[in-house]
Amino acid sequence: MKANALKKIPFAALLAASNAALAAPAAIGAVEKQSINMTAVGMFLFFVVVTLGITWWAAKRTKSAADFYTAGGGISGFQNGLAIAGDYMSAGTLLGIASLAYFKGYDAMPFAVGFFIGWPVILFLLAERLRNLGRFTVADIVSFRLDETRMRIMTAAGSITVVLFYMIVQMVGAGQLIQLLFGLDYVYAVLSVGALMVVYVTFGGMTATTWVQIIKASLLLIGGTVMFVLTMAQFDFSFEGMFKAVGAAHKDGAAILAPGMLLKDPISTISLSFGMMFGTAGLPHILMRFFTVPDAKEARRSVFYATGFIGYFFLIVVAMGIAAIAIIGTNPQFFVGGKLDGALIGGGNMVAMHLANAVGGNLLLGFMSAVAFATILAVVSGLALAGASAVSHDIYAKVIRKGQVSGDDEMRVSKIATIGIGLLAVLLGIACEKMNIAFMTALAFGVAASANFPVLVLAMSWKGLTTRGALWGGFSGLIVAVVLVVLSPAVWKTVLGNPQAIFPYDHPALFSMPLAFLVCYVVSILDRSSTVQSERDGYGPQFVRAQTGLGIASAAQH
Amino acid sequence: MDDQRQLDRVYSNPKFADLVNRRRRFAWILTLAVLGSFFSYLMIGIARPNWLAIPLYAGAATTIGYLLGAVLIAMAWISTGIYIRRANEEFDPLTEEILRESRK
Repeated sequence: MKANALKKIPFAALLAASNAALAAPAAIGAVEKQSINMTAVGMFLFFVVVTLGITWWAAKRTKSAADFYTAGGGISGFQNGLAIAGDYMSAGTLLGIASLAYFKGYDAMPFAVGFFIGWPVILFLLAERLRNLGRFTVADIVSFRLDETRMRIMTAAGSITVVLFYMIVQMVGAGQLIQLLFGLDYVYAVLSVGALMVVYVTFGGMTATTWVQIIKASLLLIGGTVMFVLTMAQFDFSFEGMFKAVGAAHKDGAAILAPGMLLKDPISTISLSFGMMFGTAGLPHILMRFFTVPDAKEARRSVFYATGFIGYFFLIVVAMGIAAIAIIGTNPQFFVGGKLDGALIGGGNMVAMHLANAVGGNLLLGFMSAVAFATILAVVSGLALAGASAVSHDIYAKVIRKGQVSGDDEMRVSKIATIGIGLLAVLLGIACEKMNIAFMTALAFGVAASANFPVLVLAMSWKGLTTRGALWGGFSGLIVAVVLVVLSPAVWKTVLGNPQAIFPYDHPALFSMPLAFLVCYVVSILDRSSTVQSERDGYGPQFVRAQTGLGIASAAQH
Repeated sequence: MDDQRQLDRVYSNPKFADLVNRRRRFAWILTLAVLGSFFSYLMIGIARPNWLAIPLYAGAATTIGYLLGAVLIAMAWISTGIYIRRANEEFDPLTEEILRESRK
């Protein structure tokens, strides 16, 4: 099981754990169906009733395409900050980072900081421009002065790739987690997540999706804080006391509290940091949140609040994971067969859940289980909406119908697209049940960092970028990221069963992202197409709008 | 087109160039500070891991590494507050002024 694997091949498994932390608990391992936990089921059903009520309320307010895609631009900075934090704090962050800290001690700290540190940079360099230039989707920004049809097709391809792989990870994680915590069959778990997600998104659009995310983020922050306080109470609220107890409890002693395996392979670590940092700024479900606030000022505020919540949450999760070494690691109750050096019951990702049980009993375990389920549900809803917008707004309305389409028609297509994405997610979730899907997170973040991010940044900030340069750069980033992931240990060895991986690192971003930037640059400066001059001339007006928000009011009213 | 004339007036306003330069410099300084400190922290862990294992004070189990990580997150968050403060107090009024002048 996971716990043993982590001891045998620390680095490879650590990357697997870090993958889990990036998205959903992908690698729970062979899970067995548990008896039904009534506290958890009751609390989750309560969450479902409340969120369906919100969806009903939101449906009445969702009349235009702008309401559907961006909640009419009427979300406040604080609300959006919570929603962004909610999108970023998936079930995998709670379970994955806590497990990483439990098994690897100190190494979870630089990992958590690296996963967090992209946020201030998004504020300094992107947030205001995203708000000033964007309307419904990221493609609105990159096609502002470049060839609309080709740019939208490419951006939609990148977005849909990221959404699908990220969604499979969430679905498989949901199925395994729910099976474990609620005692519900895998297939029913995946089906219920898919069905609820389709209801939220098709009826309530962005308004419902945002409020589901806000409620879940609040529950996660409250539950996490309660758990943290109860955990620290075991050490009389002293970090020093906690670290002493951990050093005494762990078989490696105080060494667990010092840098370890994570840092033995710097290239892997840095490539992972790159993927996390810049991939975040290319995730379509995160980027679209910047279009739900009225102006650049609120966009800034949202990042401020989101950064605060995410940083706080990551820190307490690391602390809890480390504290779990002293609390869980010494309690045979949580180990298979009661053997302290054996595997954790339910697999390596269950550290946070066992800790909830240990410090707060069945009530807290039930609450945190319900929150974990709610978390997955909220994240897949955001993903589904992002994917559906790419299909209906970019491909259908702008590419196929060339913009000659009514808002109602466009909304209808986006609802059909949501149902299609929901079906696809359920089918793929069921198909991938037994598969080792750790690589899919690397793929989603790798593509986001290497295809979406470079084109977005250059389109907004470099006058010289041409359509041809953007297409070559974006597609080379997309293809190279996918190829490198296929050749990486996670796929070439683990999934395909070859003895040796061709590309030694699980995360491609360190290589594929600079390549994409380089290709964009070289192809753009060599571009001699007839449209180059008008594309470069278009940069001035775009620049003024990006910097001042000129014309933004009319964009929101459309 | 009216829109176009307004865009041109903003673009040719020296205050606009001033706004863009000031904001750009400030944003890059903060970006480099945040990323620089993070990668230094990561690199110290890679090259000199025992530096981060130094106890906070003689006999402590708490090490410098944890404190630095927590301080990094706190400082990064504070830097977002610093950016927003200057944006609210300086960049927004200047933008308002430029837009007002462009509507004349």
